[in-house]
Amino acid sequence: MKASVTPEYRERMLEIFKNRSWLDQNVDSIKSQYKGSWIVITSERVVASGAPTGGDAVAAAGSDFDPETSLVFLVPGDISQPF
Amino acid sequence: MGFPFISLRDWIDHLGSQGLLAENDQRMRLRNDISALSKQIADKGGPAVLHTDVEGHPGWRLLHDSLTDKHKQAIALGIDDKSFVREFAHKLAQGPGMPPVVVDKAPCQEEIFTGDAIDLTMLPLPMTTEFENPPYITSGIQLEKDPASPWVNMAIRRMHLKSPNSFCGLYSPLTHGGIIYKRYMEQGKEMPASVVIGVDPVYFMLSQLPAGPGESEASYWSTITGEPLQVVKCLTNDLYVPAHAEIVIEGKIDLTTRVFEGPFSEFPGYFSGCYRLPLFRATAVTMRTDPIYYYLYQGREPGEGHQISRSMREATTFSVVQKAVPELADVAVLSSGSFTTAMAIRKGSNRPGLVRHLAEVAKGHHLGRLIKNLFVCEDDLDIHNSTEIMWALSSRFQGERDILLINDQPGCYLDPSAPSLGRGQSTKTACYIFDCTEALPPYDEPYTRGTAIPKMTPAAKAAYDRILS
Repeated sequence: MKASVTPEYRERMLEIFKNRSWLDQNVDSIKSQYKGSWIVITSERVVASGAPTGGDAVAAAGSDFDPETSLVFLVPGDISQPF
Repeated sequence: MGFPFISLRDWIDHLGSQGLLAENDQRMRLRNDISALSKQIADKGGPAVLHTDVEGHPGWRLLHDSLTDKHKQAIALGIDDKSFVREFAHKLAQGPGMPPVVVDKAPCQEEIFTGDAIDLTMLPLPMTTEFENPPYITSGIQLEKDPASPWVNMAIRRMHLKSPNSFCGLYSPLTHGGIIYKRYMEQGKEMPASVVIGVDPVYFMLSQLPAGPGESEASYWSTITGEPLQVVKCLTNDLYVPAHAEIVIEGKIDLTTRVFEGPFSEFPGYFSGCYRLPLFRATAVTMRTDPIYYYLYQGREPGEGHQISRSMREATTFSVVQKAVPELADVAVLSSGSFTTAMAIRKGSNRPGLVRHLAEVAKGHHLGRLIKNLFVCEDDLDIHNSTEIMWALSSRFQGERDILLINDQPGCYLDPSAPSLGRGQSTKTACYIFDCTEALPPYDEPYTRGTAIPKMTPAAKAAYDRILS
């Protein structure tokens, strides 16, 4: 069998890319609001936040958390640039 | 079939024939299932695992933990695991071997994807931790050529997928990848690079060889195997990759764009910080028709990556340091890269200043850059066994007399305990030398009485073997 990816899995990945890209573009404003907290991003928006664990943010998101495509992320205080 | 193994498939066949491979046909999810299994194997021991049913990826197979213990590593390198460090160091001391052979047609180019056909979601990428999203390529060996010399550096680095045709990777200052990267930056050029996934075990281990600056790790492949490495030219850049690899991602790194990346479960055992990193844009993906993806667990040790890195650093350090200090008998990396390392000197070597000499040579060489804690012992101990080192620390060490501190050393960029020195810089760390050898006169009198340990008898050995069986 030729190796491939199923359309469903690919769609899921593309949705994850969208959420991550949205985070990348908005990280500075997100940082100013949520620094030190965990956030849940679903469909390119922050749907919940929580602390001290990612599980707290997931619980706060309730049904807005999609286990396949949501992004659960600890908002950093500092973003380094090695070069 | 046996040593040398020219492809991952040869290696898998051999592991299977030796009872060192488990095939798993149960469906595995990419989030956590595979990483958690790999961690269990590293913690408790076990075979290499070949998965044949991976979520969302029909036709793929996925392998991990083929080099997680010294026994398998020794088979891969064609040496005896009982004298691993010395034998491997002896091979490496021979220096680079014969040049590679370039082939026109290669298994790694059976399938070719360029332009819009490039789709990295096709790769079955396990997510190592609960909230990792998107996944990382953790076993990709990146090749990058110095712009001003024939030097081709290779290294496994974290690669965070950003889109179906791009990812970004971390270049730490002071590493060879960082040095080459900086040279392209200074010239204002894009950096061509290729990433190889699923290679023979020697090539895989060489990706962790702490070679000297200007030295290509792959040039040691023939030193170890006795045969020339077969390579093929990439289709969209001038790099050469192993012809028998499973997957190759060719591309170029845009040094002007920075993309937000992280956190990642790094080898010191904590999540790294977040970074702004350059973007690798794929220009071609080539692979076998029925490729095997290789997964490498990253995170808190032990893991396969730690064990490979440990073996490579032990052998290279032994090879280099013993030239200056012939009394050196063994080297053991105990934790995280080489943060905590032990060295053994021959029992009874009581040359005044020997321990300090050894420590300064070990720490002064580029291989010792990461050492934060160095235990110098005598070779009546097995320094690969932390319990024995702790015994020596308890019974042969006095803090007031036997400790040496070297301050203000450049540290590892990813060491969570070390303060950063700023952009383009490494971290600052300190190195402690613990002299755990028996003290010289006038403190040696207790040691002349000898260690209190029973002598093994044939009857005791026979009883022990019987009880354990």
